[in-house]
Amino acid sequence: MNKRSITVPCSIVNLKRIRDFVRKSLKEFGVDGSQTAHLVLAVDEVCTNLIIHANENDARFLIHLDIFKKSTGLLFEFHDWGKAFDYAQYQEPHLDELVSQRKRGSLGLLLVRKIMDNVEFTQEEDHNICRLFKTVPVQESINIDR
Amino acid sequence: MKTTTLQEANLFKVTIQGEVDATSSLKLDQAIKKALDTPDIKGVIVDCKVLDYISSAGLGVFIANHQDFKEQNLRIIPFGLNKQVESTFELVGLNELFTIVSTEEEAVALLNQ
Repeated sequence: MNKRSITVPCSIVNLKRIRDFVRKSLKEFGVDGSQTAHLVLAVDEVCTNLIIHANENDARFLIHLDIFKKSTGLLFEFHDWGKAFDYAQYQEPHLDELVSQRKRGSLGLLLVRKIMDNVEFTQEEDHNICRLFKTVPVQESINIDR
Repeated sequence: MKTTTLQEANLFKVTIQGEVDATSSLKLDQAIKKALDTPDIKGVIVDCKVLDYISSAGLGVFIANHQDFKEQNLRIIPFGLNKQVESTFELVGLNELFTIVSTEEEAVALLNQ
């Protein structure tokens, strides 16, 4: 299968588990190590935002991630059932403003946008979906299907 | 993630080990802030030789402390970053905000300039 999936409770203690899952999945997909590092980071940032902001770090809720291997790259699809994020209202922060305001947050989505080729947030009837796409060379599927 | 702190002569040293993410960034923040209360130092050198991963939560610690250190005339000098961690710093332009060097000797020399 050209798909890997994981579902975890919305608690930041699970971030490492998600990162390890992405590293393993991308290795199986034959993705280059330096690309993997950036993609792991982007997934970590989205999951951190979904867990903390959309689901208030409440482990009663779940976050689900599918990674699809496509012919031209990788599609990461996140599902959560928390508060929806209004991407249209997002404004990219400036580093000098964060410095003067002594702000520790606000950088996550900036990193995601720098790493990914396409970022989208949508709302379905009962939940939210975030999709990230990255054009990246992936291995032919013969040796990695299971 | 694990941090260790050490005061040496006129500097404060923080060593970061493992992965810094949203679960551990507060601990890193506390470790770096200790330098602000340490008298007679020129700044903090941050040993990143065994730092395997950093997310925006960790980068935010460097950003949020920059101004307070600057106001006390103290510097923060990260050193020994692996390629992936250095690339994460560069993605948000932290390499322009901080002088990043390769070795502890370079970090100490820079602090004493």
